[in-house]
Amino acid sequence: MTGNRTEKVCVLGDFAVGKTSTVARFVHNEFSDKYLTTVGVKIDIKEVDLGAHGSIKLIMWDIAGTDALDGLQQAYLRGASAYLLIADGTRKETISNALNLHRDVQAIYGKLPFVALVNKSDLDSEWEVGEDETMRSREAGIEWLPCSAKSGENVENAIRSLAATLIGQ
Amino acid sequence: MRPESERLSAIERRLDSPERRSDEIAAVLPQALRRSHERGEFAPAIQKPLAKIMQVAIREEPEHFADALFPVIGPAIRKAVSEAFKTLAQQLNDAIEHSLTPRGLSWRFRAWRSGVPYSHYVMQQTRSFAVEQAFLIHASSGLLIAHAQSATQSGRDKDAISAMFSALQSFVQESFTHDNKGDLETAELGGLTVWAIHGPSSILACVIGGLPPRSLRGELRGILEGIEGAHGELLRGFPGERDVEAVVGPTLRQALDLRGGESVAPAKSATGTMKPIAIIAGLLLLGLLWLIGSTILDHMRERRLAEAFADVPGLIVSTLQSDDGKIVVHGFRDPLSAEPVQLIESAGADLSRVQLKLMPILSLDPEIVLLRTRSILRPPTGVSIELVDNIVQISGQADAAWIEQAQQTARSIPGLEQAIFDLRVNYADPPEAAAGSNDALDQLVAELDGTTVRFTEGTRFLAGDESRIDGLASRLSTFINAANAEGYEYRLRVDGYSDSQGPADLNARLRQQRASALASRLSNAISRGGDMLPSIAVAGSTDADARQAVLRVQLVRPAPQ
Repeated sequence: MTGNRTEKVCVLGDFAVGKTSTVARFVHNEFSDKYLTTVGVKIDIKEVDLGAHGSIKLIMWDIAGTDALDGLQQAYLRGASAYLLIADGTRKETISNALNLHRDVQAIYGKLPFVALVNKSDLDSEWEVGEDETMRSREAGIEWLPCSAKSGENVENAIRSLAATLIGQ
Repeated sequence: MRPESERLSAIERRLDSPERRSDEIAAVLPQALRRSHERGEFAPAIQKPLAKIMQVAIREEPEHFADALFPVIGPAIRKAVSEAFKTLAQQLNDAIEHSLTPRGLSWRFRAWRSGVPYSHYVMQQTRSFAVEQAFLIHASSGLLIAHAQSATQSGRDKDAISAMFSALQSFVQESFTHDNKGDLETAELGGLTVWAIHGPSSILACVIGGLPPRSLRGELRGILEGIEGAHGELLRGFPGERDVEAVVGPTLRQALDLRGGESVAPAKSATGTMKPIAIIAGLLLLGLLWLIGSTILDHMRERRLAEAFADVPGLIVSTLQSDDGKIVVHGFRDPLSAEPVQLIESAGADLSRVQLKLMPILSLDPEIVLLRTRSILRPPTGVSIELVDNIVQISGQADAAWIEQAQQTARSIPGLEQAIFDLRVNYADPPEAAAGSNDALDQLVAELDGTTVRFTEGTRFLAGDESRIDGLASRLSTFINAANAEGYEYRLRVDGYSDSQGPADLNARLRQQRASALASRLSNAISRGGDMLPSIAVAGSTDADARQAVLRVQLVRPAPQ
């Protein structure tokens, strides 16, 4: 505790959508990835400086990939202030699975701030997410933001936006 | 005036109507209570009346409270009893484990020194632990509320550790319990233990080095209850705007003061009594060293004295022991043996510390027999009495009277059964009468003196020589009768000889035996003839190397005219 705010942020998404690699470039890794496979969660730290608005420390709970929340993942989500929802643009089914996760979280923990990212925007030729998925998501209240773990596109912005939302609360 | 009077009447009716006043108060009461609570006035104001009400209610209707508490009190008692038994079991284990080890013996000594019961000391010592880090973790989010650590500790991001601990708690709870109840209370790795105490809003997780006693849980629980009790509202609102760590930090740091082991024990009273105890212990140690030293010295003196008294002819020591600072010697001593005082002095022992209890004896030790023989016979100049092969040998020249006296006396000396006589008559004063003596006697002396009788072996005579003995005895008898008739004195002696073969002591004895054999044979033969043979001296002689005995006959002095 340094006097800055600290908030718990969970990272959710289907299998192999690139959750860990998306946040890995922008966080301070404290624990090995092996925790993700053994315990089902990995903790990373991200300090976001928002200038005049102060700074915030995000405790990022990178939860192992899933298309539905089981008991353990629900337990990991307990007490979270916000979450990052991540899908894979080259596998459109990950969009619908992310929508399911989003609904589950809201059903259990109420409306929490979140940011939705569609990863692998660098793979244009394999992109599968079309108008249908975008529309369905919009109906569910989700605006997907394309991003690339490879290039870093939009990842930092998304996390900063989430941090700003938390500080504004 | 009318409207005013109507308003006054209305107010009056309101005040007179309890129902209306109740309704009005009920409408504002919740808000009033809330405001009073926010100002911090409500709880103190209601505390005493509420306590009184509860006392009265419990006294008058205890069954209602028993029913209400029943679901709570059972688990609470079970938990308390379980904790107490766990603590007791660990203390017993520690006491048993350390009862006979070197460390346990050392603790036993220290407990004795500090006047603390051993069991208490074991408990004190087995509390060798230190709380190195304390995390106060928000129960639902896993966020770190506050953290305290000892100066020597450093490590990973405590926020991440807090979150990971919370994740592990969830993992264990979800994975290994049926109803997702129960809490992760202990994690152990090597010498480190992590204990978690769970409160309604927060978890106190402590990293502990060493072996914490179960009772530490109670102390940690007390700290957590203190934090939750004083700052429950703040914790429930976490994360909030206020810096919670600054508020709860001082209480949390108390956990770091919980430590036990060598550094804190024994108690102050032990250090206070340390100095006199050290002096007493030092004196006791000196006394012990003196006792050991004097015991060793006594033992060495006894041994030296025993060595000095060992193998001394005529002295037999039966027991030798220390008694009241003195060495008492029990035994037997011939008066002719070495003087004990000299032996004690030669052993370097203090005479005043030796007490002799020696019974007098007559020793048959050859050396003592030798001394005894010298003492009794008082040999003149020219005669030596020595030990030859442990047999007393009397040899040299002496006058005939002394020789005869010595031969007679020797028979009564204890231990001198087998003396060897090798004596020559001293002719320094030769008998003058020999020249004008009786020719017949001289002839007989010349005939008899030097007569040799030979032996085959041992004391068996050579057959031819044996047949001559009777004749020799007859001639000797003639001589004795003639000498007696003429009034001459004479000396008779038989010298025994041996060859040099075989052991020297055996030969010495053999020479004596041969001389005796011939003397005895002559004496017997003369006795058979009706005459009495005066004593014949016998002696062993080494003048010749032969198996023989030689008769010596001398006329000593002329008979008075």
